[in-house]
Amino acid sequence: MKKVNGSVFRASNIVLLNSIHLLRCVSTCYTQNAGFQGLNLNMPLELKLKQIERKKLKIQRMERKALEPIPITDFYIPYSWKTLQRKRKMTPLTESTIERRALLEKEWVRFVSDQHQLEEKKTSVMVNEQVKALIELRLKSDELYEAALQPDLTILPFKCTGPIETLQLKDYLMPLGSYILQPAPFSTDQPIAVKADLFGEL
Amino acid sequence: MSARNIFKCILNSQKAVCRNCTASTFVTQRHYRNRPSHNIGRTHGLVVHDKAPEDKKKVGIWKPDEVKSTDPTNFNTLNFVVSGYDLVLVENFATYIHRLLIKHKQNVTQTYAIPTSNTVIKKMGQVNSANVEQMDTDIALPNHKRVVQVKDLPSVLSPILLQQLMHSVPQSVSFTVKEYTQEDLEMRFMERVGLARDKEELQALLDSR
Repeated sequence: MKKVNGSVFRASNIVLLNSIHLLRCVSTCYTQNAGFQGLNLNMPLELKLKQIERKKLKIQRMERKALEPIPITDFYIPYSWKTLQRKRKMTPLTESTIERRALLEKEWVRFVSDQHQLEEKKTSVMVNEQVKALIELRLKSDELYEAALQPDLTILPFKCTGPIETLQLKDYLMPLGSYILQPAPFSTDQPIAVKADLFGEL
Repeated sequence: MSARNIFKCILNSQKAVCRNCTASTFVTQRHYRNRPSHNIGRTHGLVVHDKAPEDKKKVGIWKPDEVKSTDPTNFNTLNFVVSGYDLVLVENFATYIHRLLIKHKQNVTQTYAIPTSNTVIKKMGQVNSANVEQMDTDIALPNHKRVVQVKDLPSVLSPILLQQLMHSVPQSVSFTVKEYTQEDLEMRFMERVGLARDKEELQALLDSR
């Protein structure tokens, strides 16, 4: 569980991203179409037709622009987190610990590779048996063979969830609260004010 | 090696060994890695071809012909979407899926990441109000997603692969298999808010004529 480091991440913290060329920095007094609020539909016909043409040209120009992919901000680290005070001091490891760890790793590798080999064997055996079964089926009837080869589309939105990390607590009273689903940052092409938090609490 | 030469596949009499049989391990190779003659017959991977730079204007266009399978016995392009809040586990499972598919010699067309959205869990703190913004944040749980895209997955192989994946899903990670659609392509690109607004205004002008 990723908890926001200790204290609440306040909106006043200025966050700068590593790749600044992706940012559209904007001053707080920016307004789109300043002075024009909403469409005026009570115009005479001539003006309306002109407006329509202008809109169509504008839309054509905007559609000609290439689509921009949303950047993946998973590995962006805010500069405010990179201070000398926050840097960890790692004690140097003794030779005995290094040796112990290396030997443990070797044991683990042995265990995991045994597991992997067993899995591979199982899958190759299954594939071979499938081939044999299909051969026998074809000898019996062509129709059934072709039906067996058809892809099963009924399974298609197939979902599998892994095991849970921690079991449910008995007699646990859920605290009052709610959830907010936040969209990914930069998911629209509107410029974002730099002062907004982009990580943790947005 | 002899087994491979003699075995003539009844499923596909034209070829000596058809695609179903190559998936199984009939042949063993001995590499002699300590000898100087190691890699003597190697041809793969010696010439590196530069990828042509992608035309920016052609990005994000849906091509339904490329998504369809070449054979009716294969699936169309499928997306294996791995999602969870633990980034390390999600990425490692996605790489596991990728390597499994490579091992079975499947056509992996794309592997990409979907932008992560957070679910902010808010607890009612000192202020007793139902206003969500006044609550204290407890945790901000990210939902990381990685996608492995396969084309022409044979229907014969899919249950075996899915079973193996189900056995090896790590904790807190879930994966879904679904068809690749236009929506999946378009969700990776920025929403054009200005364009949508202009289109609405144009529609309003046309309606009011």
